Amino acid sequence: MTVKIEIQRGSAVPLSRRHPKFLGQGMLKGMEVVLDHWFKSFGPKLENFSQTAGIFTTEYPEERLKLAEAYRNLPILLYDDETGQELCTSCLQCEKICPPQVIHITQTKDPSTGKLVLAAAEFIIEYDACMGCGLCAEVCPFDSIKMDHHYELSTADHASLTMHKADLLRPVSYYQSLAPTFWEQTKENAYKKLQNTVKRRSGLLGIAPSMVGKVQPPETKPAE
Amino acid sequence: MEALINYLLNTALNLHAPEWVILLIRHLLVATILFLVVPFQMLLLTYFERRVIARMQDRVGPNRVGWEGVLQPIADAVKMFTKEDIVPAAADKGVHLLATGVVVVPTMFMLSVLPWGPGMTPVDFETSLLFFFAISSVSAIGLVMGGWSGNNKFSLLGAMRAVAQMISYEMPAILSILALVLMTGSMSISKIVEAQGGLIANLTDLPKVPDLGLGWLLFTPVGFLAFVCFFISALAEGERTPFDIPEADSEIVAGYMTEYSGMKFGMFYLAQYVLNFALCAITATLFFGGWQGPGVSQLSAMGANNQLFSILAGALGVVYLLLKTYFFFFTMVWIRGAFPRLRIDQLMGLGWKFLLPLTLVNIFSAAIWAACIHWGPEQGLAFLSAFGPWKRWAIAFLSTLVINLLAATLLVRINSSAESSMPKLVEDQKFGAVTLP
Amino acid sequence: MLKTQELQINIGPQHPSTHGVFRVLVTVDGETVVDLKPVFGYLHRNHEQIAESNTYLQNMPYTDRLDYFNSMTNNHAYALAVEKLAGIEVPERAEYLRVIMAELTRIFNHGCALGFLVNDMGAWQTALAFGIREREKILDLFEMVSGARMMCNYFRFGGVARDLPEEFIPRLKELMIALPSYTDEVEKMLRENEILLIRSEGIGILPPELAISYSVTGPVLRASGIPYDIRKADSYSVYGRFDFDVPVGTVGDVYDRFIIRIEEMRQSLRILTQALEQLPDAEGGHINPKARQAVRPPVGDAYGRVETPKGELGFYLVSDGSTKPYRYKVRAPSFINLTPLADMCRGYKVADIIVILGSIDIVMGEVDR
Ligand code: SF4
Ligand code: SF4
Repeated sequence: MTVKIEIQRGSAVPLSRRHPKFLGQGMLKGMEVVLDHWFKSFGPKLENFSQTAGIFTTEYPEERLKLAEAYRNLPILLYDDETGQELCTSCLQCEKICPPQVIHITQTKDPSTGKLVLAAAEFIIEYDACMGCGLCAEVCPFDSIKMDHHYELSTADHASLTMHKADLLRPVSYYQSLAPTFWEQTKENAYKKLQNTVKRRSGLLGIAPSMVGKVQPPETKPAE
Repeated sequence: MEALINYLLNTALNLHAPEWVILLIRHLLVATILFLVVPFQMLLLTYFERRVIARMQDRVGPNRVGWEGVLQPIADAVKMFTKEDIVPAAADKGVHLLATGVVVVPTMFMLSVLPWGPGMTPVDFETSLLFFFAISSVSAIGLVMGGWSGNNKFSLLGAMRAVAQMISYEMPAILSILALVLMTGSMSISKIVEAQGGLIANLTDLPKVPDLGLGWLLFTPVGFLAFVCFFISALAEGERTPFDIPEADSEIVAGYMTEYSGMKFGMFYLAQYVLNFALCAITATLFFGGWQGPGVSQLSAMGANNQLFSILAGALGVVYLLLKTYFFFFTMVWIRGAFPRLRIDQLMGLGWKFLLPLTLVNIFSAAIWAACIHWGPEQGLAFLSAFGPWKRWAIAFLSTLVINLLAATLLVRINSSAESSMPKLVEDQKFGAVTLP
Repeated sequence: MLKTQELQINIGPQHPSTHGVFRVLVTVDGETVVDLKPVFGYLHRNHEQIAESNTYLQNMPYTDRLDYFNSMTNNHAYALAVEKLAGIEVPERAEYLRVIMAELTRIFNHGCALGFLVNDMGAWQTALAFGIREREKILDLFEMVSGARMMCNYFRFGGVARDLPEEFIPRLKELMIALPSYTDEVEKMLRENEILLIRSEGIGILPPELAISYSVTGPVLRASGIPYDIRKADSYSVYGRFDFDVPVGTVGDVYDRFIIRIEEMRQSLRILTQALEQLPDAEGGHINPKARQAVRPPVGDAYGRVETPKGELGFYLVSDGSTKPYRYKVRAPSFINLTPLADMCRGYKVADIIVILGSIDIVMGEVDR
């Protein structure tokens, strides 16, 4: 049986097996390439993508690559700089999407009424098992969970990698410095949603712990 | 040196020391210097190799410890010292330990017969060339001991390969050196170096050429072919790429060193680099004039009146030798950066089917060379003395060149035709159509 | 004949050149291989079972970890399968972005595969270092678009996660200057090297019939002389719009597998150039907005496959109408290409096993899943 394999646009080209004309020619060529790189390594460093020679080592930690805005390491939570209000409403979207299931959220209950409040009482991310996929940041409708650029997290203390809400919270300005254009795109939407959320919070609920005492809790009581 | 010690002991201190005391002190001193210099060289070589190869690969290499990383080898040595020394439970412990010594000591001995500068041979005797190669083979025993005692299949395989390789490359190495012995008429390394003064042609062959210390044996057809063969063999003997098969890490882990750790591993490492250094140095010495170079002989001639000049000549000679040695080591690193390695059977084939016949032919040319230049009526070749020395040199040069070129091309032809007898399975296959079974 | 004793050697699981935790049980007679048995499973991670308990989107980051070298093409195959299952349209721009990413992946994978192959022959990293150098640049680009260098997780059902940042195209164009000279350089350095020639010519020959019956794919199959490339045979995405050739080998030995990778890098460059020319502007969007929500495909099954640098990567999905796949099966090219190893190695030397293994270009993460 003969199977004909049709190829449109372009053809199957058999590879030619070239051989050196005299013994040692191929080896000399190889040595030439290597020596060329040795000489060029004393020249300018490889900084431009169009170069193919020159030293390309980045000497971490003195030199660091500029991270792309989209860079993602591990997730953090945001709160507003001025009011201290957390952006998270504990809608549990991120907990549901997280593939390794490392996000654990406890929703807040108003101590007086026992009703759910739009804020997370506890927000735990197991950094040791998080795969840094960024899906949580993608699904969050309130732009509350974002991916951090900080990558020097190595520690000998395993337990410290279970991050609680207080460890995760960062001000919005921090995220803005990491990814200015991304924040620019979502800023308006995020603040609008935050205002709606704040309307339905009361007292100190939903205020970042580090900001408690520094900001005035909102006066308005949630509409009954 | 003896004169200096003699002066110090007998004249300055007035001790009336007998001659053997002076000799003993001299040898002790030299041995101390060697033992200090050699490990230092090894450290430098590892650093040098890592930096050079890193630059060939667009990296920087170790540059953290000390200025530009020069202290890196010392940090490595400290690491080696402080590491746990693991001896496998099933190992033959005595042999396991002894092997390191048997490997390291001979390599140190090799350096004792090298002429480091004019009149600076630690131990100078008539058959030092023979001694050099004889002692280098002793470490093969150490390799077998190390490979066998570890009780590991990989180390045993590695040791077997190492010994097979060493033995089969000793042959072409020594045979190519034999050509030099024929040419210079001496088996003493220092004499061979002394014979390499001159310019292109050396002084023994053409006494009238100006002495710039450039009459290297490399510049003769016999010497050149011997150099090529010897350098290839040296790569194989020093287990350098493309012949680093005994410790082919991609195949048999670390070869005979697999079961070694800590300082014992370090000793093998040391032995290897010292061996490489010795081989580079002997290549430089035999073919590239060793300490010979422009100015050395003039300086030592002036040294007859003033001690200072002979010290200067010595220093210049050492610098020349080290420069040449490091050039060869650079070449070794360069080759390592560029090539993959051969397979063990291909290596054996290269040694026995290519290098050995080539060196044999080379010995024949060396005999012709010696005959053309040195023989005369006593050997029944009275007609040769009819030519002047220049003519005799030219005849020798041309005839050996022709012989060596012919032999080399013929051997390349024979060997490459054997290699290309490769099965062509898909010869008649049409592209785009496949016959399914 | 001398009677000799056969010796059994375990190469691996901890061995410098088995490309991961992989064991080969070799029976040797002297240095000649009599028989060989690959043993794998040391890296088994229950990928398929985990995937069946995850929702469709949750699996996307897990596919990165299959062949961790080429996360982009893994994403592509999985996205194709789900799109087929759920009938999701992909905007044109997204298709082009996918092709660009996939071809960049192919280039650096082949570059590094060459390096690893030459390393297995005993070279001291130089070819690999050059490959890694180009790979670093490409990974910089990946980081720019997806946020991660290796575990990109960039593809989504109906498109890609985000559009290109501004500086991407200029940098890619700079890179396109470097890549051809890189391929030329590698070719100059190694293609005619005598040592490489005698180490690889006539070694590990895989006859085309055998290759087909083992259902080997990718460069290994093409090196055996069969021009089967899914980009041509089952043209997915927008591959039908590009001119490119399919290089095929003539003997099917290690050397063919070596040079075929150089040629394929060239062809990928051709595709990249054309894709950059044809790339539509951002108006069409980079993702089908309808597909943003959780996918709930109708009952049925689908098979999505792409030509990854290592061969045909396929995802077979069965949906029971819920948000999770009922059955999820990966056809991993590394795994299937590894099966004829014994047939390729028999009769050659021990040192050749490593070279042949290197020429298949496997990634254990994909073999064991
Ligand atoms: S971080 Fe975002 S997605 Fe997660 S619970 Fe808070 S608001 Fe919801
Ligand atoms: S980055 Fe991925 S793994 Fe980590 S918490 Fe977010 S969704 Fe979970």
